Amino acid sequence: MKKVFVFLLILSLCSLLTACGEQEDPDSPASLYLAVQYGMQYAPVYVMQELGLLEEALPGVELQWSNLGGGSAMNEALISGSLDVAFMGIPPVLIAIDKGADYRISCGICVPPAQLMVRADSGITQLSDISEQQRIAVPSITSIQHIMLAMACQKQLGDAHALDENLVAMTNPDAYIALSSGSQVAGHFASMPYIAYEQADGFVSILDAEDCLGSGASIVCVTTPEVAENEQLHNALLDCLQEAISLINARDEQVLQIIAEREHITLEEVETYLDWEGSLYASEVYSLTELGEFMAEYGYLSKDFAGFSSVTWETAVEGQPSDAQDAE
Amino acid sequence: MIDNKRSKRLKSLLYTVLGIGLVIGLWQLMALLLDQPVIFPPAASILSSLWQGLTDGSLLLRTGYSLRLILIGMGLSVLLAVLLSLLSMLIRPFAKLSHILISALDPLPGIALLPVAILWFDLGEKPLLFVMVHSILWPMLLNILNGFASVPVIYDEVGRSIGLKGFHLIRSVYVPASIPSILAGFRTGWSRAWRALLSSEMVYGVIGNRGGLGWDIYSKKVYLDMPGMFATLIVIMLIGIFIEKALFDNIERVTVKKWGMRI
Repeated sequence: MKKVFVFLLILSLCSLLTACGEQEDPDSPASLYLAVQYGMQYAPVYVMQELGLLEEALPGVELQWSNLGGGSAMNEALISGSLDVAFMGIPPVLIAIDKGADYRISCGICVPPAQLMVRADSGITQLSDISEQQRIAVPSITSIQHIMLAMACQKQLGDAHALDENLVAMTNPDAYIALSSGSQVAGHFASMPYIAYEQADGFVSILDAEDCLGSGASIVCVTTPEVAENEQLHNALLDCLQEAISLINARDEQVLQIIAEREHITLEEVETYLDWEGSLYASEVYSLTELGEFMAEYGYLSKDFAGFSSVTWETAVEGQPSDAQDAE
Repeated sequence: MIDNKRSKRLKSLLYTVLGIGLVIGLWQLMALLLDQPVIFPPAASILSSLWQGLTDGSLLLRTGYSLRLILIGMGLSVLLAVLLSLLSMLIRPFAKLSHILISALDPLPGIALLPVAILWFDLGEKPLLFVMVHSILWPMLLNILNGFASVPVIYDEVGRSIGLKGFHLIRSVYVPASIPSILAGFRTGWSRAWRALLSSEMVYGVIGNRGGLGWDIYSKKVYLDMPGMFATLIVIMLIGIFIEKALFDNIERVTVKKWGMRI
């Protein structure tokens, strides 16, 4: 009896594990699973969502939206087959593709400002001033801020991993509180609107995206092969994102209102943050090659970076730093 | 008699090896069936990652770091639990206060206190220790007090009739009679300590790159190093088995089993 019970237990465990691996058919045109993160850098996505652009372009397709808290969670959801479209920073996408994931970048949506803010009284004016005890907060390991900091370390200190021991993974709100409370966190590699909050509180910037990369890096739209191969679906998604980007760049009043409501800020703040130096809403993909080459060279990827087209679908257009400066 | 014991031990070892082999075999089978190495890495790659982590010392360093923190957390919690339980036994109103504290604080997950702990103690080991002590102390205290409360009245009367009272009565009558319950408290505290430490490190990464096994899981997760992540999980499970067998089972053998309190 006991042996039969053990056998049945193992059998049920096996069937349970097999069931875990089963995925819903993502190719089904009946539904599309999309995930976005929090922050103004994702404005084209939630503007598209609020205006119902995708619903209009894809009648009959049920859109299932979710909010996830970072590139790592996006990767897990994409790999497990629970997502078709994700919006995220470039480094986690490159890591996933390096590990064998089959999804690719379809387009960019935004180049957000990124600045390393430090307390004015910390005595830090450059990276070499950061002591062993002082901590630098980044949203997570492998986030764009982490990789940018590593690039700056390589440039300024000659060692990409020089500040690895000083890193601490904290969300933007937690890092803002930690920085303000006079803790060991002496620096925060922040994005908007925390750059503005910290600047208003007297913190100073010692490094920005341009210092690290030459230009900012895009937040990108990532799609699975099933979506990319479905031309109608893929084109509709890209067109809707482009329309949302154009509306943001035209400072459309309804769109500004949507952003203000989503971010819980005033219309004046929306305009200030949209006009912030280094901020660009564009469908081109910026700094992908620079990031890929750096990550491969300094051990963040296990294989060589095979170029822009190896991690993008045909629809992706590589942005040039000079174009970004002109557009700003 | 000795031969009988040796054959029993050999049998137990054989069953353990067979059990582990079966689990590895089933895992490999599932990995082959699913053919998705990022979701379900093959057993060989997990074992290879485990071997690499052990031979290059990285996993051992992380393990040492976590164990050191857990031992400090357990030590502090035991001290506090002993102190609070003594006060509760000696001063009746204090017992009521202890029970109110347990009811209010025990259900509060340690991880929920981490943001507060960071604000109070800054980054580093102090907030982790605070969260760990909170996670260990209340279940441990509850078990000790429950153990004391379940001591038969006749034991208390016998102790008093031979002249024991106060601290001596607790040490000579209540503590030995409550050992099974106290041990259960230690076991719960031990597992709560692991959970608190690993989840704190995974959620906040509050100790930067110098962290323990929780940080190790977190960093392997973001790099999608699934074999490495499973290797770390295996290390945590092995430590759990080792502590259970080498520590708790032995304490139980020389106390409750020797005294005939449990079979």
